[in-house]
Amino acid sequence: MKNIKLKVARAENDISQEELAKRVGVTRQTIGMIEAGKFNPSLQLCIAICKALGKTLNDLFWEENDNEKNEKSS
Amino acid sequence: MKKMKKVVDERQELELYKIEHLCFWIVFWLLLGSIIVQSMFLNAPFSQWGFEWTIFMISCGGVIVGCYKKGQWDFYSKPTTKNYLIYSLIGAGAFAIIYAITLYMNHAYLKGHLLALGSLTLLIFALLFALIFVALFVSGTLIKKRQKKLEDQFSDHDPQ
Repeated sequence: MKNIKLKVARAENDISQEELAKRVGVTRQTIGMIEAGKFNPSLQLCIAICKALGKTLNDLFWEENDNEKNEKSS
Repeated sequence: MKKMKKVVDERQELELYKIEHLCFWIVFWLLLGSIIVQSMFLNAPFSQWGFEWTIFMISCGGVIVGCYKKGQWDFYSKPTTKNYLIYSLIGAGAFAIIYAITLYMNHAYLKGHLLALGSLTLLIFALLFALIFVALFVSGTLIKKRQKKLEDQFSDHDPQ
């Protein structure tokens, strides 16, 4: 599943994939693959990304399932 | 000795492990195939394929010791009697067929006596089945005990 939230947060902070990768100590390809949903990062890396973007784990990595979404919307 | 610093991130490390894992198993099965062809089909002396056999045994030993230490069994199955039976049947069946082919090729007498060949193959199958089953049963039991020990090590129950 694509991680749009991460992409949006990165855009809000005006940070490129390259810059974010440098800040958290990974390659640009890794950030690209996390955003594309092709790689599941470790909790340690998730926290590092959140800190670099000034967000919480909930903001970037929490996915609500359909039932929860429906309950909230009704 | 100073430990070498990794220059790869966690994704690259995972991908490298996957590549190395795949290559290890390719080499493992090719080595086994090479040993079988040389020893059974070509009737080569042990001095010819002994070195390969030693390397093969070292890799087998490494996998067994590593799996035991970490309490791991297999990617696709759990250590149960049903799985021991399935793996024993597959292993003994495959090896018995190979052995039957080599017996047929190397012994002129057996070419004319297929019943004797069949009986001999069946006997080899039974022996191998028992051997593999016992080996799997023993290793599976040891690994289950090890898993229990590792689970207890990280249990949230405080020691009294």
